Amino acid sequence: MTPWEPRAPLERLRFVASLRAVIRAWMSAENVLEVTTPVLSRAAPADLHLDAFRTAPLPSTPTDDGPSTDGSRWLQTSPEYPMKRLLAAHGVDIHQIAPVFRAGERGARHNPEFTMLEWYRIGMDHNALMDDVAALFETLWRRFDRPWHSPERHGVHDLVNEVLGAGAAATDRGPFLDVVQVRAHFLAEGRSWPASIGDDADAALDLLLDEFVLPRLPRDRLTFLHGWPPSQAALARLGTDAAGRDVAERFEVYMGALEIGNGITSSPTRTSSARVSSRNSPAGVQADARRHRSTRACSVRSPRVSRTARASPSASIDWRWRSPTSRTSTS
Amino acid sequence: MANYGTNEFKGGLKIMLDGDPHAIVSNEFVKPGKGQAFTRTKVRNLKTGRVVERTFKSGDTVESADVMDTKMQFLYGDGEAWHFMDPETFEQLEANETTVADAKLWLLDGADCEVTLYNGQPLAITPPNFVELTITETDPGLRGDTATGGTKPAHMETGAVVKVPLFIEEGEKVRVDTRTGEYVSRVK
Repeated sequence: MTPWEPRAPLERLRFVASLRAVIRAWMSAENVLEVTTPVLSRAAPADLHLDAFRTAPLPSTPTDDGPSTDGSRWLQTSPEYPMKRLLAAHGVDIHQIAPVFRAGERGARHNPEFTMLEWYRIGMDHNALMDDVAALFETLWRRFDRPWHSPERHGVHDLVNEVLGAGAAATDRGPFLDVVQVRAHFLAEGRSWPASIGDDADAALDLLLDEFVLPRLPRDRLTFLHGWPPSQAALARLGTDAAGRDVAERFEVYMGALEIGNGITSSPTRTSSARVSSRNSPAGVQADARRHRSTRACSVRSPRVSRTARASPSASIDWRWRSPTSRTSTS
Repeated sequence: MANYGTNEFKGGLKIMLDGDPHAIVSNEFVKPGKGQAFTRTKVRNLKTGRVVERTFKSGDTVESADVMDTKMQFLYGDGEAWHFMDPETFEQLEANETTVADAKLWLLDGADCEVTLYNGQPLAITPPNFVELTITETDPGLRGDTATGGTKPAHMETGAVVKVPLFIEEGEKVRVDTRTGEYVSRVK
């Protein structure tokens, strides 16, 4: 017999409900409209390292014109695309607390389904958005009587140089990291280095941060990491930092070593759309995504989107926590 | 030979790394939000017993190791080779001293053991968790001394030396836990 009892105790349900209430009150006070968008999509996301669940085939309708020939849909990995459509059409700040799904992500810190808070701010850049994130968290922390400390902010270049030595991270153009140097550091420190990384500087940076940087981040406050290499822009606008280096205008926010969210400045003329992954086969999606990542932000122009673009850049943040309901569905 | 992907990793899986058979002790899925996923593992080298950390990129594949544990009966040791027999097929094989290692200190002729085979050759011998052995040599017993909790060394018929309570006599049979090498009880 499968035990039917949910694993979330009532007090946890009450806590999450009050979290949502505080978030909604904060958003309302900030005039950030709550929206709801479809969870099922005709196309999968373009991100290289995100895998979406796909539904069974569905009956087609005369209005079907999407890439899906058998009517099947993809479960969202984030509500980004439909929210950007709303943003482009209406040009007001919006937020959503949405269920999201990621195939293949399972472990002590990963659930294939979780809840994500995503919000968009017209006219803010990612620097202002870091303050915005901190303001929301401070409200939450104080509401639940946790001691609040001002967040730290670090540039990825500086953190890499701290580990590998000054000058290791690119100072100007060119590759962000020398993979050979990162590998040598791992071997010198007696750490395992997966040979399959090859010359993939992005994978090297991910592993370097995970092994040597994240464990040192403070546990009693938030840390913002900004100044990501252009190759890891996701859908962020490209810019230069104070030292004149090419960077993606994007940040990630951590609690200790745990990444809890990320934010970007997106210039909607450069906004990618779901059309990038318009192939039906997962392989096609992957191939497209790969090209997408290496050519920085994909610029699919949409007249509706560029209207907001000219008006102002927008910034978005998503913040996730593990859904308390997700584990009750296992049978 | 089969290959395993990182998403098939689990504790106990036997894989080939650097030409040696390894068993996965633990594995952890690691992934930055939008970045490359990795699987961080602890693996035990089945030849040396050493545990090391190994990191894999998600999607990496490793070859499975042809390692299996079989129940076999220990027949006898002749000082150079230790002979085992499969109780069902009566097939016999011999293991050298390196392979038998510390297990030889616990093996009585006829004992049921677990033999780990790698490519059909014995890689390691695991004696039964508990064995009953006769004491061949120990200091005279202190009759009735069951209270002080003192111990003395005792030589077993197989060559092992075990600390036993003071009241135990030479020629008595005792039960020993082979995993810790500790005395468990007197056998009557």
